[in-house]
Amino acid sequence: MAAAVGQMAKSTLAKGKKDAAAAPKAAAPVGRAELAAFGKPILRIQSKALGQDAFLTIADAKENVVTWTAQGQANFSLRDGVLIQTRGLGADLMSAQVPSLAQLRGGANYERIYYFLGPDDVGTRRTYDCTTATVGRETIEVVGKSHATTRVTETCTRQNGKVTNDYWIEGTTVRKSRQWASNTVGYLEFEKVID
Amino acid sequence: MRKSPRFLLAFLAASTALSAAPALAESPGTLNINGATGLIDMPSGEAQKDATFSFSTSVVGSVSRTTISFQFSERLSGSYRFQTWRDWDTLIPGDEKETDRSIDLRYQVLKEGKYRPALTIGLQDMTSKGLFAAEYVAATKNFGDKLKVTAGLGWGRLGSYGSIGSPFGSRPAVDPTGTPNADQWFRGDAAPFAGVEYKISDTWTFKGEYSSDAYLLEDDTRGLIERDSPFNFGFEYQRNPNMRFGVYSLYGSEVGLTFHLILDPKNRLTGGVAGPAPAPVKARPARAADPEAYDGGWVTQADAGPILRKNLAKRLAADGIAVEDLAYTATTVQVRIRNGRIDAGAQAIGRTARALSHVMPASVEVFEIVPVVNGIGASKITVRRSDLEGLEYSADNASLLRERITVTDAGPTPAYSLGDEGLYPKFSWSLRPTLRLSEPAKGDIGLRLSATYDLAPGWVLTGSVYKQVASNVDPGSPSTSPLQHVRTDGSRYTEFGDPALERLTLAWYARPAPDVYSRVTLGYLERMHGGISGEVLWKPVDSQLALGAELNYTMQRDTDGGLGFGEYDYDVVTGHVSAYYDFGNGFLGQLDVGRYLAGDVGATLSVDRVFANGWKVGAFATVTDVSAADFGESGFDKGIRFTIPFNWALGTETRKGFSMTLRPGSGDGGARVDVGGRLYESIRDYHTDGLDPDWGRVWR
Repeated sequence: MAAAVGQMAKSTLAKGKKDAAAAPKAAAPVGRAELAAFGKPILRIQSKALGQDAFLTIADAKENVVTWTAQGQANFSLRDGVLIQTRGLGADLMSAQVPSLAQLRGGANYERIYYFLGPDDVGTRRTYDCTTATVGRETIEVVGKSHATTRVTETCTRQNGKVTNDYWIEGTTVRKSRQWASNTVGYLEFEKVID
Repeated sequence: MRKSPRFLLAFLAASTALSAAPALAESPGTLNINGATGLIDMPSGEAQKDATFSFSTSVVGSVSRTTISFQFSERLSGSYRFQTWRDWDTLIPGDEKETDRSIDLRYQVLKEGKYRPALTIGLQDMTSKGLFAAEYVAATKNFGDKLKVTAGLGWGRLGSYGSIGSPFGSRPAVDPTGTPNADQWFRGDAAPFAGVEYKISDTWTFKGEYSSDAYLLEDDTRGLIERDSPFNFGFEYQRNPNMRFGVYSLYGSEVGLTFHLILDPKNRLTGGVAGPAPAPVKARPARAADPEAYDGGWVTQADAGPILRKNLAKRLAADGIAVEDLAYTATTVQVRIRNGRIDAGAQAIGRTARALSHVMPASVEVFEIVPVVNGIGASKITVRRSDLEGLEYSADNASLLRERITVTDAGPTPAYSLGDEGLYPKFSWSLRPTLRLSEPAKGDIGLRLSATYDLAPGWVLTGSVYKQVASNVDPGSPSTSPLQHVRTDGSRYTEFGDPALERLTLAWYARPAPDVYSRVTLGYLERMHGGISGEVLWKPVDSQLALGAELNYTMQRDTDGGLGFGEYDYDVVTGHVSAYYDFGNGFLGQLDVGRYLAGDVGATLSVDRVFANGWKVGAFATVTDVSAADFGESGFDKGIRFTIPFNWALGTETRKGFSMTLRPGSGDGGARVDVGGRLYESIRDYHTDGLDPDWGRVWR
């Protein structure tokens, strides 16, 4: 059954890469009941730049880092719901120094560092100064289910740019987020569908 | 005023020192119809973006020019040009067409400042018989972000119209040819030129210029082009960063067309390298929680080795990595791998380490990974398993892991290793369409049948046969070289040897001592020479310096591409001592001193710029005791070479690429046997200077 989810994810990933300009393909035909039937945690990922809409399963979990995979073709590692790595996208986020969930909720100031491979495969980094702000309570719907969340916006600036990440936090879970991954990939949207 | 060259050098040095002041950001220059940075036919003071590699082709009436240019560094650039004049016999009976190859060098002395223009000194067609020879100093200033104005002073062809006199004396005739024509540079009539470049929109540019080239050769002497006016103008169109088109009105009578292919070796066309994500590191259970998992008793199980090997091979096969050998104790494993596909050594190491984390029992803490090239260990990368586990998700994991691993000499295969088990002997073959270019747009296409038989580690039997399918090469006139025709009968080999046995060799690679590599190759080494070639290389894994020696005894092969040596009855002992040095930032230098195929003695100096993704662009020159006259019209052997890796163009994991060597002229002096599998290039990828530039890919 997990293979079926993976297969689904793989097919959407493969299609999207060919036609990056295409609108995200809706994953609508799959309902919550069908996803729940797999009996496994599922993360939905959507990307405008990649033209992706896919359901991911867990490939690896170590302490507070979970690596989600689309059939082993593309991986996304999140630390407490905050994106720290991507693999298999071409322009990958190789690693990152990111805030903890407590920092996100606490309105802290901190430094965020993204590590990439440049186009010539030489390692490069980008350092941002970030602040977080609680926007307020928001009720969101994730694949047919409502969740009462607190929305937090993380604003990161450097001399030549700005990144804004949004998190919808429910208890200790990041239920939904919109996080920047790299220049080429841009923003990725994650939704924790099945815990 | 005979002091000009020295004066210019002094000027160059002084102004370079001045320009250490910060320069304003400027848009890179555009290319002219000669493939050099400039206006339409005139050069400008600008440079291309560092490392830009361009291929330009243009047609002006019956003259066509194809140029390859490379921005070697921010200030220095060079060009190789192939030029054809058709209807050459319009006024003077003789050949219907004339061809010429030329080399340019340009140096940007000043970068543009707030008030200061960019200033470039250039030598055009600096070494050949001078059909296109010119020197110039050109200055360009941006006004706003749309308008550029260029003015300059030219000599040679660029001083032939509207001359203001000869500031550095008269220009002597070119003699002898082939060597740098330093006596001519900046001599003779000088004439000013000027022009503007205006950016109409993001895609369209207007250019207009006043040319100081009188086209004496094409108009007065040969009657190919009617030069009615010094004014040229036209439009250029560029939609994406890689292609630019131009159409011009030239000299009041001609329409010029040009196309530029502009490549940036630093930017893979597809962005990052594609390929599936790696499997995450497999974590071991905590020792306190599961002490039994760390028990080393498994090593006594008889079937442990074959099972581990099979599991590892299965995981690595997905990445195109073959397991050559496996050796283990309860705490250490050494795996010897053959990386067949992944272009970055670091990525192959990372994939292997992660596969080991899945396969090896928990008691194994030390992973030793030995990349094997041609059956011999190139280096040994030692990774602690706990570092791999601990750093996987850390920020800056690549730098942190690099600090904790060691790269050392591969050393011998451990005595307790499992052995090659079914990997040898191994036969592989391929039949591929092949492009053999002798000029940027001249050459032949054909089919190459290649086969390799790996007899045992380090022993390789390999051969290839080539059959031409189509060709646009003119065989040309027979060689009149007074030397043994070790190279100049190339067209005879192409004509008579079709199909031809290109190579058939038995090679033995070995590691006679730590840091020392050796090769012996026997057989048909290349299409013109066969015999025996031996090489020894000293290269510590973390050394910038390597030293090598090569000794060959060869006989010249028959032109029919068969097995015989009777046609020439020529044999020769050649050999070189070589020093290789990695200057950092991707610049590699090599000096070879020794005896060449025609029996001449001399030295070859080469400089290459290599990029982490596999791009390589270089230049070489060989000077031997053969006189310039005996060598032929290009004086001495020199040229440029480049390699474009397919992974850069396609984004896929592949170690293959397209390579080409271009020479302004061929001769028999300074020629070396073109034996395959030379040691330095084979092993450098897995030494620190090859691994470190793209070490970040260890986590890819």
